[in-house]
Amino acid sequence: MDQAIQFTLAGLTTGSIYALIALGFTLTYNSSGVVNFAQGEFVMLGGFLAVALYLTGLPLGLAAVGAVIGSALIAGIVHLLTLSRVPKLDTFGLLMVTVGIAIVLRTLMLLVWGSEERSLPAFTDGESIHVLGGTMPPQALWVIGTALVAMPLLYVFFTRTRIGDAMMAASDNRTGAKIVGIRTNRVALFAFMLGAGLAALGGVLIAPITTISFALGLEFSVKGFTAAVLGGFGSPVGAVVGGLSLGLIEKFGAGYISTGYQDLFALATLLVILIILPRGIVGSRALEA
Amino acid sequence: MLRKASVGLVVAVALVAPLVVDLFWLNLLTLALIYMPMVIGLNVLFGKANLVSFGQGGFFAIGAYVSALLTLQRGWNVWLAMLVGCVAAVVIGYVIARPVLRLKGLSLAMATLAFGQMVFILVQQLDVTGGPVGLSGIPAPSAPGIDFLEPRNFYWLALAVAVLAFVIASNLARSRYGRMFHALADSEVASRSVGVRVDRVKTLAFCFAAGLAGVAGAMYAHYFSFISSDTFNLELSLLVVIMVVVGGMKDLWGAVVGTIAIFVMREYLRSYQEYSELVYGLLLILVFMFARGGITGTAKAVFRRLRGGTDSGGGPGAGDGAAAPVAAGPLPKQEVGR
Repeated sequence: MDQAIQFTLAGLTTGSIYALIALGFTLTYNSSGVVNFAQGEFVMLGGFLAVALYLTGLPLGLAAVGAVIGSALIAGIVHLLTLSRVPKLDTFGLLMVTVGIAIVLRTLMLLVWGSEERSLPAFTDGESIHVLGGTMPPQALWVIGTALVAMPLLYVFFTRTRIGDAMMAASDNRTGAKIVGIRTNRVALFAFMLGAGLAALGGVLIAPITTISFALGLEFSVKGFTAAVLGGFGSPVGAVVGGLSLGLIEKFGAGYISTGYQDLFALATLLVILIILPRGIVGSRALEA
Repeated sequence: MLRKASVGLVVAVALVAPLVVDLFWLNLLTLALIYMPMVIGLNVLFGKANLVSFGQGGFFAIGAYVSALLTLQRGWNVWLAMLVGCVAAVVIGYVIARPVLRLKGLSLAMATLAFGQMVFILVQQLDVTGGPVGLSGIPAPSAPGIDFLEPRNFYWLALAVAVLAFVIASNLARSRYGRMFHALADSEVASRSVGVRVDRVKTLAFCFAAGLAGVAGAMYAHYFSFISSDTFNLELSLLVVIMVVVGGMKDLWGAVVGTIAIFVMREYLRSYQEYSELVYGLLLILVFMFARGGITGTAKAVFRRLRGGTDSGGGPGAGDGAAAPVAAGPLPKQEVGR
């Protein structure tokens, strides 16, 4: 029983990160049809920037915020150079462009920061926290807490702000949105930046728990995508549900079956869900071909 | 005529190349030829049938490990083991084809990616494959009077396999199945309505690509005599996609051009390995943004323009097997621009 609680806590922690990445996938896909395979690279970029800023002597909190904003800005530049120029490309072509972006970004990170793994100090010091017989590091609370705060904020953003409205409109019907004067190109750019920012936030949050390395980006992309598909691609609620579920599946699989095969559980989930439940847990429109 | 002559020239150059180049280039070209069947297979799957796979590395791994293990642990004859490696890839391809091929586009890409990565993790974790430590001492194939440890001989072997793969793929693309690939790439519903058994045809294309990846894997294992799990990661599967796309997927020659171009580029940038990755990424972006036809497609378009845009095909480099005129077919239209 204690074990199960332990796995649940660990699963929710990783799951929160997956949820953030999956939300980014959802945002970008909804507002521009782009399945952004570079999401995982922005997780790493966020982590790397936070470490770099922290090493210049900035306080940790400021470094974290700077890293998220910095990643979003870099994402904006990337989008302006690439995706903004080909708004009419089909979904698959767009995916391939983002695969290219992912490869370029990871190589640039390798060139700038080298192949060493980096990490940040925990946001707060302190003993492990005991919950219902399980323990978790204080950083895990930061991860789960931030994710919990970010999600309602996003909801408010989508329902109460003009740009949020525009994004919702674009996701509902891109042509229609264009006709009523929404600049869908700008919406796409903004969604891409916001998605990258969320991914970077995930990177900053886990940097103290796991490590940041240029080689891990693709893996996070796959996990975030899996989470999004599991929950229901295109649905923000689905992204959160899918992220947390994926985290739990991984940790329970690793705990009860084998740690070495942890990633196998996530991949099997992806394969099975795509085949038997393409609309995901929450149910969304099926992923466009 | 011109086309036959240029194909002959290409083959002739390929045949005599090892007598001219140094060991470094010989190794590079051998590697390109070893990978080529895998790229040809994906070219047919992706370019003709419009089914993408991000998991060819998985089939490559199956071919490599099955063949290596059969020779190392069971003492099988290398040729037979390689053949079984290929068959194993086809069988696994067949097993996953049914469920996976119900998916299209993006979903198919991700499902095959998941498959490829699952193979990678199994290879990494299982005891029998040796994980990251790998398997060593994999024997080279042998034949009376030919020593395949001599690099030139292996080059010619790899060339023969690549040419064979190309010829089979070219015939397949030209056959009624090739026309069916085209048809279902355009519209599955329309194909079904004229009697194409869509599931079967898709499975055929998928298994064909899987088998060729298996062959490539087996050749790889027996060429290097050492394999370890690190080789068979996601990057490998993506690299195959990049080769297909950069070469041009509407033409079988694109697979040849793409493979060689990427390998040559990688070797030129060898001392700056990171930069070669950077170039892959940039190439991928540029192709999809500006030159969807890849190298061969762009070259054809330029050539056509130079000739005044009069005819729609032909020309020396334009060996598009599937576009060859075929009088009687189940479908009236073969080339529908997408």
